[in-house]
Amino acid sequence: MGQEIYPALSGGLRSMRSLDMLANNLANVNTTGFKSDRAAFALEVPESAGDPGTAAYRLGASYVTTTETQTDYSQGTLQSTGNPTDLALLGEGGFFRLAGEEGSIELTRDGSFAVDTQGMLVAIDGARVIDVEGEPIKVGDAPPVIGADGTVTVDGEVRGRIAIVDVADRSILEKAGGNRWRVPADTELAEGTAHVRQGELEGSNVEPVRALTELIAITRYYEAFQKSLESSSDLDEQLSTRVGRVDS
Amino acid sequence: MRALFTAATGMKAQQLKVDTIANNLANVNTTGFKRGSAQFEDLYYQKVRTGNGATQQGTTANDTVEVGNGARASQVRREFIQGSFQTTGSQTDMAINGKGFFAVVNAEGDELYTRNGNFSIDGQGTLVLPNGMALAEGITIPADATQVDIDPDGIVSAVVAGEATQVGQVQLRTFVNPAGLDALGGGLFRATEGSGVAQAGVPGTAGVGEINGGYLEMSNVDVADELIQMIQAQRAYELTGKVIEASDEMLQTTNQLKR
Repeated sequence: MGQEIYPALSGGLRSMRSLDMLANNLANVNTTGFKSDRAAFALEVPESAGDPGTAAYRLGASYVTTTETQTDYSQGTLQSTGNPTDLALLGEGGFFRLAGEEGSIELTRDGSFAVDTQGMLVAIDGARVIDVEGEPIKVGDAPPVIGADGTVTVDGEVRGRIAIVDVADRSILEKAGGNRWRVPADTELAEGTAHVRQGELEGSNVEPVRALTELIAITRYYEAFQKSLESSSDLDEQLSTRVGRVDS
Repeated sequence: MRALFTAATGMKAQQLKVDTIANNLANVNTTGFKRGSAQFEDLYYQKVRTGNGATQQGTTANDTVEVGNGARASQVRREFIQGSFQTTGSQTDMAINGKGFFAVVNAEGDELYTRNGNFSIDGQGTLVLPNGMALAEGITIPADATQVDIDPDGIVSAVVAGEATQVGQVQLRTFVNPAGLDALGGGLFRATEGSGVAQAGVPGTAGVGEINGGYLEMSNVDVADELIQMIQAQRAYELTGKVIEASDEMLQTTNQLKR
Protein backbone atom coordinates (compact mmCIF):
# COMPACT_ATOMS: atom_id res chain seq x y z
CA MET A 1 0.00 0.00 0.00
CA GLY A 2 1.32 3.42 -0.91
CA GLN A 3 1.81 6.37 1.37
CA GLU A 4 -1.53 7.86 0.27
CA ILE A 5 -3.17 6.08 3.20
CA TYR A 6 -1.41 8.27 5.77
CA PRO A 7 -3.26 11.52 5.00
CA ALA A 8 -6.49 9.53 5.28
CA LEU A 9 -5.32 8.10 8.57
CA SER A 10 -4.61 11.59 9.93
CA GLY A 11 -8.22 12.48 9.04
CA GLY A 12 -9.47 9.42 10.88
CA LEU A 13 -7.51 10.33 13.99
CA ARG A 14 -8.91 13.84 13.76
CA SER A 15 -12.44 12.41 13.94
CA MET A 16 -11.51 10.43 17.07
CA ARG A 17 -10.08 13.53 18.73
CA SER A 18 -13.19 15.55 17.87
CA LEU A 19 -15.40 12.85 19.33
CA ASP A 20 -13.39 12.83 22.58
CA MET A 21 -13.94 16.57 22.97
CA LEU A 22 -17.59 16.35 22.02
CA ALA A 23 -18.08 13.61 24.63
CA ASN A 24 -16.62 15.93 27.27
CA ASN A 25 -18.92 18.76 26.19
CA LEU A 26 -22.00 16.58 26.36
CA ALA A 27 -20.98 15.05 29.70
CA ASN A 28 -20.92 18.62 31.01
CA VAL A 29 -24.26 19.72 29.57
CA ASN A 30 -25.56 20.28 33.13
CA THR A 31 -22.31 21.52 34.71
CA THR A 32 -22.58 25.02 36.19
CA GLY A 33 -20.48 27.61 34.35
CA PHE A 34 -19.06 25.08 31.87
CA LYS A 35 -17.72 26.42 28.56
CA SER A 36 -17.58 24.07 25.60
CA ASP A 37 -14.37 23.13 23.79
CA ARG A 38 -13.61 22.32 20.21
CA ALA A 39 -10.45 21.12 18.55
CA ALA A 40 -8.86 23.33 15.92
CA PHE A 41 -7.21 21.51 13.03
CA ALA A 42 -4.69 22.58 10.45
CA LEU A 43 -3.29 21.11 7.30
CA GLU A 44 0.34 20.21 7.64
CA VAL A 45 2.36 19.88 4.46
CA PRO A 46 5.76 18.19 4.68
CA GLU A 47 8.71 20.13 3.27
CA SER A 48 9.32 17.41 0.67
CA ALA A 49 6.10 18.48 -1.03
CA GLY A 50 7.90 21.41 -2.65
CA ASP A 51 6.65 24.92 -3.33
CA PRO A 52 3.00 25.81 -2.88
CA GLY A 53 1.23 26.24 -6.22
CA THR A 54 3.20 23.59 -8.06
CA ALA A 55 1.55 20.40 -9.24
CA ALA A 56 3.88 18.34 -7.06
CA TYR A 57 2.69 20.28 -4.00
CA ARG A 58 -0.97 19.69 -4.78
CA LEU A 59 -0.40 16.00 -5.32
CA GLY A 60 1.91 15.68 -2.36
CA ALA A 61 0.76 14.12 0.88
CA SER A 62 -0.67 16.51 3.46
CA TYR A 63 -1.82 15.71 6.94
CA VAL A 64 -4.43 17.02 9.33
CA THR A 65 -3.15 17.79 12.83
CA THR A 66 -4.90 19.00 15.94
CA THR A 67 -3.37 22.37 16.66
CA GLU A 68 -5.17 23.59 19.77
CA THR A 69 -8.21 23.37 21.98
CA GLN A 70 -10.48 26.35 21.46
CA THR A 71 -12.96 27.22 24.17
CA ASP A 72 -16.24 28.93 23.38
CA TYR A 73 -16.71 31.56 26.10
CA SER A 74 -20.27 32.51 25.13
CA GLN A 75 -22.84 33.12 27.86
CA GLY A 76 -24.65 30.14 29.39
CA THR A 77 -28.32 30.41 30.34
CA LEU A 78 -29.10 31.78 33.80
CA GLN A 79 -31.17 29.66 36.14
CA SER A 80 -32.82 31.03 39.24
CA THR A 81 -32.11 29.11 42.47
CA GLY A 82 -33.22 31.57 45.15
CA ASN A 83 -30.07 30.82 47.17
CA PRO A 84 -28.49 34.13 48.29
CA THR A 85 -24.93 32.85 47.89
CA ASP A 86 -25.52 31.60 44.33
CA LEU A 87 -24.04 34.09 41.90
CA ALA A 88 -24.11 34.14 38.13
CA LEU A 89 -22.06 36.29 35.80
CA LEU A 90 -24.05 38.02 33.09
CA GLY A 91 -21.80 38.99 30.21
CA GLU A 92 -18.96 37.05 28.67
CA GLY A 93 -16.21 39.32 29.94
CA GLY A 94 -15.26 38.15 33.39
CA PHE A 95 -14.57 35.41 35.91
CA PHE A 96 -14.76 35.05 39.68
CA ARG A 97 -11.35 34.77 41.26
CA LEU A 98 -10.65 32.09 43.86
CA ALA A 99 -7.75 31.74 46.25
CA GLY A 100 -6.00 28.87 44.51
CA GLU A 101 -2.74 27.07 45.06
CA GLU A 102 0.38 29.12 45.60
CA GLY A 103 1.87 30.31 42.33
CA SER A 104 -1.28 30.32 40.25
CA ILE A 105 -4.52 32.22 39.87
CA GLU A 106 -7.76 30.29 39.71
CA LEU A 107 -10.77 31.61 37.85
CA THR A 108 -14.30 30.26 37.59
CA ARG A 109 -17.73 31.02 36.15
CA ASP A 110 -19.36 28.64 38.65
CA GLY A 111 -20.85 30.89 41.33
CA SER A 112 -22.49 28.19 43.49
CA PHE A 113 -20.86 29.60 46.59
CA ALA A 114 -21.45 28.90 50.27
CA VAL A 115 -20.28 30.28 53.60
CA ASP A 116 -17.67 28.27 55.52
CA THR A 117 -17.35 27.86 59.31
CA GLN A 118 -15.24 31.03 59.51
CA GLY A 119 -18.06 32.92 57.78
CA MET A 120 -16.08 33.37 54.55
CA LEU A 121 -17.62 33.18 51.08
CA VAL A 122 -16.24 30.00 49.49
CA ALA A 123 -16.61 27.77 46.42
CA ILE A 124 -17.94 24.21 46.78
CA ASP A 125 -14.49 22.78 47.56
CA GLY A 126 -13.76 25.43 50.20
CA ALA A 127 -11.57 27.75 48.09
CA ARG A 128 -12.21 31.33 49.18
CA VAL A 129 -13.70 33.91 46.85
CA ILE A 130 -11.39 36.91 46.46
CA ASP A 131 -12.49 40.55 46.52
CA VAL A 132 -11.02 43.45 44.52
CA GLU A 133 -8.41 44.01 47.25
CA GLY A 134 -7.25 40.40 46.99
CA GLU A 135 -8.77 39.49 50.36
CA PRO A 136 -11.40 36.86 51.25
CA ILE A 137 -14.91 38.15 51.95
CA LYS A 138 -16.45 37.68 55.40
CA VAL A 139 -20.19 37.21 55.16
CA GLY A 140 -20.98 35.76 58.59
CA ASP A 141 -24.30 34.07 59.28
CA ALA A 142 -26.72 36.71 57.97
CA PRO A 143 -27.85 36.51 54.35
CA PRO A 144 -25.74 38.82 52.16
CA VAL A 145 -27.05 41.26 49.57
CA ILE A 146 -24.81 41.25 46.52
CA GLY A 147 -25.08 44.01 43.94
CA ALA A 148 -24.54 43.88 40.18
CA ASP A 149 -20.97 45.18 40.63
CA GLY A 150 -20.22 42.46 43.19
CA THR A 151 -20.51 44.61 46.33
CA VAL A 152 -21.34 42.38 49.29
CA THR A 153 -23.52 44.03 51.94
CA VAL A 154 -24.49 42.31 55.18
CA ASP A 155 -26.93 44.08 57.55
CA GLY A 156 -26.27 47.37 55.75
CA GLU A 157 -22.50 47.07 56.13
CA VAL A 158 -20.28 46.73 53.05
CA ARG A 159 -18.01 43.68 53.45
CA GLY A 160 -16.07 43.98 50.19
CA ARG A 161 -16.54 43.83 46.46
CA ILE A 162 -16.17 40.48 44.70
CA ALA A 163 -13.42 40.62 42.09
CA ILE A 164 -14.64 40.13 38.52
CA VAL A 165 -11.48 39.70 36.48
CA ASP A 166 -10.54 39.00 32.91
CA VAL A 167 -7.37 38.33 30.95
CA ALA A 168 -6.44 40.10 27.73
CA ASP A 169 -5.49 36.88 25.96
CA ARG A 170 -7.95 34.07 26.68
CA SER A 171 -5.68 31.48 25.06
CA ILE A 172 -3.51 31.40 28.20
CA LEU A 173 -6.45 30.10 30.26
CA GLU A 174 -5.96 26.46 31.06
CA LYS A 175 -8.84 24.27 32.20
CA ALA A 176 -7.96 22.68 35.51
CA GLY A 177 -11.11 20.61 36.20
CA GLY A 178 -13.50 21.44 39.04
CA ASN A 179 -15.02 24.19 36.85
CA ARG A 180 -11.78 26.19 37.10
CA TRP A 181 -9.29 27.80 34.82
CA ARG A 182 -5.73 28.29 35.96
CA VAL A 183 -3.31 30.98 34.87
CA PRO A 184 0.23 31.73 36.11
CA ALA A 185 0.40 34.02 39.17
CA ASP A 186 2.21 36.78 37.25
CA THR A 187 -0.63 37.15 34.74
CA GLU A 188 -1.92 40.67 34.46
CA LEU A 189 -5.61 40.72 35.33
CA ALA A 190 -8.00 43.29 33.93
CA GLU A 191 -11.34 44.28 35.40
CA GLY A 192 -14.13 42.18 33.89
CA THR A 193 -17.21 43.70 32.29
CA ALA A 194 -19.67 41.03 33.47
CA HIS A 195 -22.36 41.81 36.04
CA VAL A 196 -23.25 39.73 39.07
CA ARG A 197 -26.75 38.31 39.45
CA GLN A 198 -27.57 37.12 42.94
CA GLY A 199 -29.72 34.00 43.43
CA GLU A 200 -28.96 32.64 39.97
CA LEU A 201 -26.48 30.22 38.44
CA GLU A 202 -25.05 30.18 34.94
CA GLY A 203 -25.74 26.90 33.15
CA SER A 204 -23.43 25.14 30.71
CA ASN A 205 -23.16 26.76 27.27
CA VAL A 206 -23.17 23.41 25.47
CA GLU A 207 -25.87 23.50 22.80
CA PRO A 208 -27.33 20.01 22.32
CA VAL A 209 -28.49 20.70 18.74
CA ARG A 210 -25.06 21.80 17.62
CA ALA A 211 -23.39 18.97 19.49
CA LEU A 212 -25.62 16.35 17.85
CA THR A 213 -25.00 17.81 14.40
CA GLU A 214 -21.26 17.65 15.07
CA LEU A 215 -21.67 14.09 16.24
CA ILE A 216 -23.30 13.10 12.94
CA ALA A 217 -20.58 14.94 10.99
CA ILE A 218 -17.81 13.19 12.93
CA THR A 219 -19.17 9.70 12.32
CA ARG A 220 -19.62 10.48 8.59
CA TYR A 221 -16.05 11.80 8.33
CA TYR A 222 -14.86 8.62 9.88
CA GLU A 223 -16.81 6.55 7.36
CA ALA A 224 -15.28 8.61 4.56
CA PHE A 225 -11.84 7.82 5.99
CA GLN A 226 -12.70 4.14 5.93
CA LYS A 227 -13.91 4.40 2.32
CA SER A 228 -10.75 6.12 1.14
CA LEU A 229 -8.67 3.47 2.86
CA GLU A 230 -10.75 0.80 1.19
CA SER A 231 -10.33 2.27 -2.26
CA SER A 232 -6.58 2.66 -1.87
CA SER A 233 -6.46 -0.94 -0.76
CA ASP A 234 -8.46 -1.90 -3.88
CA LEU A 235 -5.99 -0.01 -6.05
CA ASP A 236 -3.18 -1.88 -4.37
CA GLU A 237 -4.86 -5.15 -5.02
CA GLN A 238 -5.30 -4.36 -8.67
CA LEU A 239 -1.69 -3.29 -8.88
CA SER A 240 -0.44 -6.59 -7.56
CA THR A 241 -2.80 -8.81 -9.49
CA ARG A 242 -3.27 -7.09 -12.84
CA VAL A 243 -0.08 -5.25 -13.73
CA GLY A 244 1.94 -7.28 -16.16
CA ARG A 245 -0.93 -9.56 -17.06
CA VAL A 246 -2.07 -9.55 -20.65
CA ASP A 247 -5.77 -10.03 -20.93
CA SER A 248 -6.67 -12.29 -23.76
CA MET B 1 -11.27 5.54 22.56
CA ARG B 2 -11.65 8.03 25.39
CA ALA B 3 -15.09 9.27 24.25
CA LEU B 4 -16.79 6.10 25.52
CA PHE B 5 -15.61 6.61 29.09
CA THR B 6 -16.09 10.37 28.99
CA ALA B 7 -19.70 9.92 27.90
CA ALA B 8 -20.21 7.33 30.63
CA THR B 9 -19.16 9.84 33.32
CA GLY B 10 -21.80 12.21 31.92
CA MET B 11 -24.46 9.51 32.10
CA LYS B 12 -23.51 8.71 35.69
CA ALA B 13 -23.75 12.39 36.60
CA GLN B 14 -27.23 12.68 35.09
CA GLN B 15 -28.27 9.50 36.86
CA LEU B 16 -27.35 11.10 40.18
CA LYS B 17 -29.37 14.16 39.24
CA VAL B 18 -32.42 11.99 38.54
CA ASP B 19 -31.88 10.13 41.85
CA THR B 20 -31.78 13.45 43.72
CA ILE B 21 -34.94 14.65 41.97
CA ALA B 22 -36.69 11.37 42.77
CA ASN B 23 -35.89 11.84 46.45
CA ASN B 24 -37.15 15.45 46.32
CA LEU B 25 -40.40 14.40 44.66
CA ALA B 26 -40.89 11.57 47.15
CA ASN B 27 -40.66 14.18 49.92
CA VAL B 28 -42.97 16.75 48.40
CA ASN B 29 -45.31 16.38 51.39
CA THR B 30 -42.69 15.79 54.10
CA THR B 31 -42.87 18.41 56.85
CA GLY B 32 -39.77 20.60 57.00
CA PHE B 33 -38.06 18.76 54.11
CA LYS B 34 -35.34 20.68 52.29
CA ARG B 35 -34.70 19.81 48.67
CA GLY B 36 -31.36 18.54 47.44
CA SER B 37 -29.71 19.83 44.31
CA ALA B 38 -26.99 17.91 42.49
CA GLN B 39 -24.03 20.05 41.40
CA PHE B 40 -21.48 18.96 38.82
CA GLU B 41 -17.95 19.85 37.90
CA ASP B 42 -15.72 18.95 34.99
CA LEU B 43 -13.02 16.32 35.51
CA TYR B 44 -9.34 16.96 34.93
CA TYR B 45 -8.07 17.76 31.46
CA GLN B 46 -5.37 15.76 29.80
CA LYS B 47 -2.83 17.61 27.73
CA VAL B 48 -2.38 15.55 24.60
CA ARG B 49 -0.05 18.12 23.11
CA THR B 50 1.83 20.83 24.95
CA GLY B 51 2.49 23.77 22.70
CA ASN B 52 5.98 25.20 22.38
CA GLY B 53 4.58 28.54 21.32
CA ALA B 54 6.59 28.80 18.11
CA THR B 55 5.02 28.84 14.68
CA GLN B 56 6.54 28.64 11.22
CA GLN B 57 5.93 32.35 10.80
CA GLY B 58 8.11 33.08 13.82
CA THR B 59 5.18 34.30 15.91
CA THR B 60 4.07 32.70 19.15
CA ALA B 61 0.84 30.85 19.60
CA ASN B 62 -0.72 28.87 22.37
CA ASP B 63 -1.14 25.56 20.66
CA THR B 64 -1.90 23.34 23.61
CA VAL B 65 -4.41 20.59 23.02
CA GLU B 66 -6.37 19.66 26.14
CA VAL B 67 -9.00 16.96 26.18
CA GLY B 68 -11.44 16.77 29.09
CA ASN B 69 -12.45 13.54 30.77
CA GLY B 70 -16.10 14.26 31.50
CA ALA B 71 -18.07 15.33 34.54
CA ARG B 72 -18.71 14.23 38.10
CA ALA B 73 -20.96 15.27 40.95
CA SER B 74 -19.25 17.81 43.16
CA GLN B 75 -21.97 17.73 45.81
CA VAL B 76 -25.64 17.27 46.45
CA ARG B 77 -26.39 20.58 48.04
CA ARG B 78 -29.26 20.91 50.45
CA GLU B 79 -31.24 24.06 49.74
CA PHE B 80 -32.36 25.59 53.04
CA ILE B 81 -34.92 27.82 51.39
CA GLN B 82 -37.98 28.63 53.48
CA GLY B 83 -40.96 26.32 52.94
CA SER B 84 -44.53 27.58 53.06
CA PHE B 85 -46.72 27.26 56.16
CA GLN B 86 -49.75 25.14 56.71
CA THR B 87 -52.15 25.62 59.58
CA THR B 88 -52.80 22.35 61.42
CA GLY B 89 -55.13 23.05 64.34
CA SER B 90 -52.69 21.37 66.73
CA GLN B 91 -51.57 23.90 69.33
CA THR B 92 -48.18 22.26 69.86
CA ASP B 93 -47.13 22.35 66.18
CA MET B 94 -44.44 24.90 65.39
CA ALA B 95 -43.03 26.28 62.16
CA ILE B 96 -39.85 28.35 61.92
CA ASN B 97 -39.89 31.45 59.76
CA GLY B 98 -36.17 32.11 59.38
CA LYS B 99 -32.96 30.10 59.37
CA GLY B 100 -33.03 28.46 62.84
CA PHE B 101 -33.49 24.79 63.76
CA PHE B 102 -35.20 23.05 66.67
CA ALA B 103 -32.81 21.07 68.87
CA VAL B 104 -33.96 17.64 70.01
CA VAL B 105 -32.24 14.96 72.08
CA ASN B 106 -31.98 11.36 70.90
CA ALA B 107 -31.83 8.21 73.05
CA GLU B 108 -28.01 8.50 73.38
CA GLY B 109 -28.34 12.04 74.70
CA ASP B 110 -26.90 13.64 71.55
CA GLU B 111 -28.35 16.87 70.30
CA LEU B 112 -29.84 16.68 66.79
CA TYR B 113 -31.45 19.43 64.75
CA THR B 114 -34.61 19.59 62.69
CA ARG B 115 -36.92 21.96 60.86
CA ASN B 116 -39.84 19.66 61.54
CA GLY B 117 -41.94 21.25 64.28
CA ASN B 118 -44.51 18.46 64.48
CA PHE B 119 -44.42 18.29 68.30
CA SER B 120 -47.00 16.61 70.50
CA ILE B 121 -47.36 15.88 74.20
CA ASP B 122 -46.25 12.44 75.40
CA GLY B 123 -47.36 10.45 78.48
CA GLN B 124 -45.12 12.53 80.79
CA GLY B 125 -46.42 15.80 79.35
CA THR B 126 -43.16 16.49 77.50
CA LEU B 127 -43.09 18.09 74.01
CA VAL B 128 -41.76 15.39 71.67
CA LEU B 129 -41.42 14.68 67.95
CA PRO B 130 -43.39 11.77 66.44
CA ASN B 131 -40.19 9.66 66.83
CA GLY B 132 -40.21 10.31 70.59
CA MET B 133 -37.24 12.70 70.71
CA ALA B 134 -37.87 15.51 73.17
CA LEU B 135 -37.10 19.19 72.63
CA ALA B 136 -33.67 19.96 74.10
CA GLU B 137 -35.24 22.60 76.34
CA GLY B 138 -37.34 19.87 77.99
CA ILE B 139 -40.70 21.61 78.06
CA THR B 140 -43.44 19.88 80.04
CA ILE B 141 -47.10 20.76 79.72
CA PRO B 142 -49.21 20.23 82.86
CA ALA B 143 -51.66 17.36 82.51
CA ASP B 144 -54.66 19.53 83.34
CA ALA B 145 -53.84 22.23 80.76
CA THR B 146 -56.82 23.14 78.57
CA GLN B 147 -54.86 25.18 76.04
CA VAL B 148 -51.23 25.66 74.93
CA ASP B 149 -50.01 28.90 73.36
CA ILE B 150 -46.66 29.34 71.64
CA ASP B 151 -45.79 32.92 70.80
CA PRO B 152 -43.35 34.10 68.08
CA ASP B 153 -40.59 34.54 70.72
CA GLY B 154 -40.82 30.85 71.59
CA ILE B 155 -42.49 31.31 74.96
CA VAL B 156 -44.77 28.35 75.66
CA SER B 157 -47.67 29.00 78.00
CA ALA B 158 -50.31 26.60 79.24
CA VAL B 159 -53.78 27.58 80.39
CA VAL B 160 -54.69 25.74 83.60
CA ALA B 161 -58.08 26.45 85.19
CA GLY B 162 -58.51 29.55 83.04
CA GLU B 163 -55.11 30.98 84.04
CA ALA B 164 -52.14 31.17 81.59
CA THR B 165 -48.70 30.35 83.00
CA GLN B 166 -45.37 30.22 81.21
CA VAL B 167 -44.05 26.65 81.12
CA GLY B 168 -40.97 27.04 78.96
CA GLN B 169 -39.02 28.84 76.28
CA VAL B 170 -38.18 27.21 72.95
CA GLN B 171 -34.74 28.18 71.68
CA LEU B 172 -33.56 27.83 68.14
CA ARG B 173 -30.09 26.89 66.84
CA THR B 174 -28.36 28.47 63.90
CA PHE B 175 -25.31 27.35 61.90
CA VAL B 176 -22.84 29.42 59.96
CA ASN B 177 -23.02 26.91 57.09
CA PRO B 178 -26.23 24.84 57.31
CA ALA B 179 -25.37 23.18 53.96
CA GLY B 180 -22.61 21.37 55.89
CA LEU B 181 -25.08 19.60 58.22
CA ASP B 182 -25.17 15.82 58.05
CA ALA B 183 -28.68 14.62 57.10
CA LEU B 184 -29.64 11.55 59.12
CA GLY B 185 -33.08 10.98 57.58
CA GLY B 186 -36.35 11.55 59.40
CA GLY B 187 -35.75 15.29 58.94
CA LEU B 188 -32.91 15.19 61.48
CA PHE B 189 -29.47 16.71 61.09
CA ARG B 190 -26.22 16.38 63.01
CA ALA B 191 -23.69 19.20 63.35
CA THR B 192 -20.38 18.58 61.60
CA GLU B 193 -17.08 20.41 61.24
CA GLY B 194 -18.43 21.76 57.96
CA SER B 195 -21.59 23.21 59.46
CA GLY B 196 -19.93 24.71 62.53
CA VAL B 197 -21.14 24.51 66.13
CA ALA B 198 -24.82 25.17 66.87
CA GLN B 199 -25.45 28.66 68.22
CA ALA B 200 -28.47 28.97 70.47
CA GLY B 201 -30.68 31.98 69.95
CA VAL B 202 -34.00 33.26 71.24
CA PRO B 203 -36.66 33.21 68.50
CA GLY B 204 -37.49 36.65 67.20
CA THR B 205 -33.93 37.97 67.51
CA ALA B 206 -32.05 38.88 64.33
CA GLY B 207 -31.00 36.03 62.08
CA VAL B 208 -32.68 33.27 64.11
CA GLY B 209 -36.27 33.34 62.92
CA GLU B 210 -39.67 33.38 64.57
CA ILE B 211 -41.88 30.54 65.66
CA ASN B 212 -45.39 30.22 64.30
CA GLY B 213 -47.43 28.15 66.79
CA GLY B 214 -50.16 26.00 65.28
CA TYR B 215 -48.44 25.83 61.91
CA LEU B 216 -46.11 23.37 60.17
CA GLU B 217 -43.47 24.19 57.58
CA MET B 218 -44.14 22.36 54.33
CA SER B 219 -41.51 20.78 52.13
CA ASN B 220 -39.73 23.36 49.96
CA VAL B 221 -39.89 21.09 46.90
CA ASP B 222 -41.53 22.75 43.92
CA VAL B 223 -43.00 19.97 41.78
CA ALA B 224 -43.00 21.93 38.51
CA ASP B 225 -39.37 22.90 39.04
CA GLU B 226 -38.36 19.30 39.79
CA LEU B 227 -40.14 17.99 36.71
CA ILE B 228 -38.38 20.50 34.47
CA GLN B 229 -35.05 19.49 35.99
CA MET B 230 -35.93 15.85 35.45
CA ILE B 231 -36.64 16.45 31.75
CA GLN B 232 -33.32 18.25 31.52
CA ALA B 233 -31.43 15.40 33.17
CA GLN B 234 -33.18 12.75 31.09
CA ARG B 235 -32.40 14.51 27.81
CA ALA B 236 -28.79 15.03 28.83
CA TYR B 237 -28.60 11.32 29.61
CA GLU B 238 -29.90 10.51 26.14
CA LEU B 239 -27.43 12.90 24.54
CA THR B 240 -24.42 11.33 26.19
CA GLY B 241 -25.87 7.96 25.24
CA LYS B 242 -25.75 9.10 21.62
CA VAL B 243 -22.00 9.68 21.97
CA ILE B 244 -21.58 6.11 23.15
CA GLU B 245 -23.57 4.93 20.14
CA ALA B 246 -21.40 7.02 17.81
CA SER B 247 -18.21 5.72 19.44
CA ASP B 248 -19.46 2.21 18.98
CA GLU B 249 -20.27 2.93 15.33
CA MET B 250 -16.77 4.29 14.76
CA LEU B 251 -15.18 1.27 16.40
CA GLN B 252 -17.28 -0.93 14.14
CA THR B 253 -16.02 1.03 11.13
CA THR B 254 -12.47 0.56 12.43
CA ASN B 255 -13.01 -3.16 12.60
CA GLN B 256 -14.07 -3.18 8.97
CA LEU B 257 -10.84 -1.51 7.84
CA LYS B 258 -9.09 -4.85 7.44
CA ARG B 259 -11.30 -7.25 5.59
